[in-house]
Amino acid sequence: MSFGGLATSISTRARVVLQRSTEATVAARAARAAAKAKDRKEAASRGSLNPRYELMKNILFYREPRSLPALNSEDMERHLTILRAQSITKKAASDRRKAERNRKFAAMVSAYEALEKADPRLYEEACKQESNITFPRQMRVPTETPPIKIWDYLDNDK
Amino acid sequence: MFRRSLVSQCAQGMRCFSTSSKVAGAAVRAGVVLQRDPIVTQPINGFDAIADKYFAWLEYITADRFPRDLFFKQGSSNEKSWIEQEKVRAAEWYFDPSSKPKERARNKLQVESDGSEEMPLKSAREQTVKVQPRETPADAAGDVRSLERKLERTLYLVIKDKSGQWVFPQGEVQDQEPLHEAARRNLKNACGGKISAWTVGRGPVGHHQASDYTTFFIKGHILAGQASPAKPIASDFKWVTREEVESLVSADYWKSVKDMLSSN
Repeated sequence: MSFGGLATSISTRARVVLQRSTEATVAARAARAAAKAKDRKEAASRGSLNPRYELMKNILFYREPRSLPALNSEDMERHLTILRAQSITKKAASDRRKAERNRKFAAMVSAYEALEKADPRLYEEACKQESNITFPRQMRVPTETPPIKIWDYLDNDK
Repeated sequence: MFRRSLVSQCAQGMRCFSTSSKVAGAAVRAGVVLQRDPIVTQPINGFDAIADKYFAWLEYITADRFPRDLFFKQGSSNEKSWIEQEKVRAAEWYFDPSSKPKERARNKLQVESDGSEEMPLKSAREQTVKVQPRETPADAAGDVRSLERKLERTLYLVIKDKSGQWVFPQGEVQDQEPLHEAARRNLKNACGGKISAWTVGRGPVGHHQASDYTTFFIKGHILAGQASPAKPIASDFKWVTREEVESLVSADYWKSVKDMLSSN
């Protein structure tokens, strides 16, 4: 899929940093100057002890909501195609995960049934519910890159 | 969570089961499916990566005016690095090229950046952080015993038993011992005491019916340590992904265990 011949590659970190609002062109900069004046005017009109706080409140709560720029029919078609493709891939991935979860659960149910037939004492022990189960603190959430010390081999206590 | 069968519901009141009522030839063994969870996130590939880029750009162009004066001190290094990043972003356009806003001479912006060609200065904090690679030396060497291999996947512990078969660690259940305790004990006997593991719950996640016994598997997560196989029980061990388990174990065994394992 081509995007107008542009091949700018942005690192993941840059993308995260720049995902917030920003301005792109001189036209936008002119709009910025005008909007800045408008912000200050609105803040002043509301009146307060600290105009800077009023300015911040104006930025956070009183700005116009965002909308897509005016697209021609081809751009709109491309946009809708991308949206549709994304929903299809997301649904496919979600279905795969769901199917895997269901297979795991079915294996567990089958194991409990087999255990009940094979050894009722063990089955009873297995069915006991433990209260206040918590996850161990050492269980780590995956990150984009690994830590400097990837794994603890418990070599300290010797 | 589970609907108790009528048999077990009656057992609550009657308690008439004893070890002698076990079905003949259905000896039970307890095993552990010990997994090392992923350490890094799954990479985003193909369509998802491009779509992410497109939507991030869309958010960028429809975003509110950035209150630059509020965030940056005029002439500061932070502002300079932001302006440099802005120049890169300004070049992107994913709609029809004819609809791209025209760029007039940006004299003021150039003056602000001093026309410098060097990369934006990193903050002191950024300079001290050194990002580690997702591929480790264990990946390069293909060391299947290492816990630092294939960081984005789940690895499972398999051991080579007396008959030379690759299986999950397992062993007998002693008298009056619950299944999860038997599983932990068998793991320790097979792989040494230097494993810090969390076994999940008291019940099995799967089972394998062999000719003269049935092995019930408890799920476990290894939190720290490494396996050191004990010679009579286990002669060797490997930490392998789901596909690698399929290639190692027998076809019959695979049929029983495949649904327990994560594809990630």
